[in-house]
Amino acid sequence: MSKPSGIALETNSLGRRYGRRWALRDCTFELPAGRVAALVGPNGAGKTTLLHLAVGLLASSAGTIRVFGASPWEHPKSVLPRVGFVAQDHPLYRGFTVAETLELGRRLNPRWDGALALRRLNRLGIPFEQRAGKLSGGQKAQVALALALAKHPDLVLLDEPLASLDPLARRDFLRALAEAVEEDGVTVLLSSHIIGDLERVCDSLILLSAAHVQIAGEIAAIRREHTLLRGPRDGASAVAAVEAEGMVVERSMADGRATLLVRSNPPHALPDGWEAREATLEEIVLAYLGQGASDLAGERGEVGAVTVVDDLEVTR
Amino acid sequence: MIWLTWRQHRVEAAIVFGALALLAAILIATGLDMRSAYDHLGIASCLSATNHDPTCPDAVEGFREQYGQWVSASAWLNLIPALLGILVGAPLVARELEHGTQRLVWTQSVTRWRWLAVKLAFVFVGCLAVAGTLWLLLAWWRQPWDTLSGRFGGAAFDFEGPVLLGFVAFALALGIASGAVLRRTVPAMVLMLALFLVVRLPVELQLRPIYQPPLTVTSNVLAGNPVTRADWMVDQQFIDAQGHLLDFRQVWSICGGQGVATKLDFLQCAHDHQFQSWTEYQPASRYWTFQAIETALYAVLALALLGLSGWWVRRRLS
Repeated sequence: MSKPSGIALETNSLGRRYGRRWALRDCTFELPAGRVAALVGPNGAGKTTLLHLAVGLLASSAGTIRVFGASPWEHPKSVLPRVGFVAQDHPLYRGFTVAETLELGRRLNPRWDGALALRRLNRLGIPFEQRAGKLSGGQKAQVALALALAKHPDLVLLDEPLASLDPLARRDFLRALAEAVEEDGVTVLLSSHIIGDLERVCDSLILLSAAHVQIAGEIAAIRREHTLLRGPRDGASAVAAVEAEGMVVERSMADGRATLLVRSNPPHALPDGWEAREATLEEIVLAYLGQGASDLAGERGEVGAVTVVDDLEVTR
Repeated sequence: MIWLTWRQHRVEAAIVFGALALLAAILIATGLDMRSAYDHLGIASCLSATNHDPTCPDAVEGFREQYGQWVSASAWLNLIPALLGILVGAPLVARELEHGTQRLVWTQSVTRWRWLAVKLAFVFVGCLAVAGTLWLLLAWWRQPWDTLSGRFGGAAFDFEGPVLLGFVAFALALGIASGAVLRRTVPAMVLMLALFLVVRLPVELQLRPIYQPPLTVTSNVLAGNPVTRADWMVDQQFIDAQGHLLDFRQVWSICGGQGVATKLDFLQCAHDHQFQSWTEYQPASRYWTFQAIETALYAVLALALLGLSGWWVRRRLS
């Protein structure tokens, strides 16, 4: 299949409020078609809200969201057939067998590709006569993914697909997803609070924290833009000099060393005793999430502020 | 969508239609029994005004005694609309929300509006078919009894007419709306039952007698009932020569003393005091008008609740 072009998903000042609390606020980003993007953030950051807005389960309270140019809430008939969605905990009808679950997909979707779903589930050895309620977590996730992919969607939205899976099931799930991306060139947005596995399948990142987008873009570009600097802790003037060079995302002091994550290329001239290296994705994500958390606590800008990483699971 | 609706509701359908078949079997068996006793005892001829056969009062009394319990028990079938609201209506939306499966079914290519429309069509057609069958069955079953007591007052009115369809439509819509609003099945069932009774009982007891102003007739207390069996006697009191209404207690305080051993003595005393019988009633000719009024009332309530459900599913569950 040819690579789709254009913008798959775009939001503009998107916000969603529950009563007085904003679950998502001032969210603006574009996801070009063909990308595989990770939506990362701690629990409660607004990831599920954003995905539900994208598939029309929720209406926005502010701003706009468009899927291939159409509002999912206002025009579900044009958006729904193009979007495959796997909700958190991959809900299935517990009393339906796997075969009946696929029949549901066939009956409710005009672009249904049953052979594709059969092939995927056959290969995984999932019994078709088994009731969905009796499947393991990994099998349920695979059935839900097969259902979403057999719609032949142009955009796949996955809400925490890895959260309840063991490492083996996680690997199988990501492999199945990677195959779909390779075969069909679908655009994927998958939310996760697990960072480790994501870089294997994702080329883009949207980082949500405290209801706001902290950073969004291609992972390679994000990594190029960020540098980790380490130096002696006592050189306060040196820190100031480094800070002058670029935007400091995070400072931390440990083992008598200062570590700065800066959003800029490595400085041309580093002060004595300082070294620079490219930051890993995980370091970048953690730094931004820490920043989001300390935004909340009002501690931004204090040297040595404790980085709070709330509920963020890091696996390798 | 039709396949999905059938797949999700087939167990309910089996229970409902199975129960209906069982009930039909019981009604047909007992109905045939009641009819043969009715013919055997010659009740029909006893009821004609010209028949003065002395065995008739005993025959009628015997028939009443034998089948009165069955007829009383059949009033429990008034719970069927509420049961349909609980079993079929309340879980319709609530069960999806409870299990989170609306996130599955509303994100296929079918809009939730259409999802709801197909489900409503399916359960309404099914449940109204049940109600219609019950109407026909019970009208046939009660027919001998109704020649004695009429069908206007009491439970017969609830069963023998389109009003039964109205109850079922209302109960279903109430269950669905409760489920959509509360988002939990069991609380929705409880709310549905409570609201159903809160509407159903006052409508029957307070409103039904006054859909049209009742007619009144004043008659000699010794002359027996001034209205026919088919009419619905709404109220009966005494009226004195000055035109004041007196209830039974007031007349009893005058005529209930010594020397009044029988009902006839009592009535004779009332007659001697120039009291007359004052009867308020709805004539049998109004039966279908009343059926139409009450059916329309429940149909409007059901439509309003369906509108609320649709709006809630489309707008509030977002």
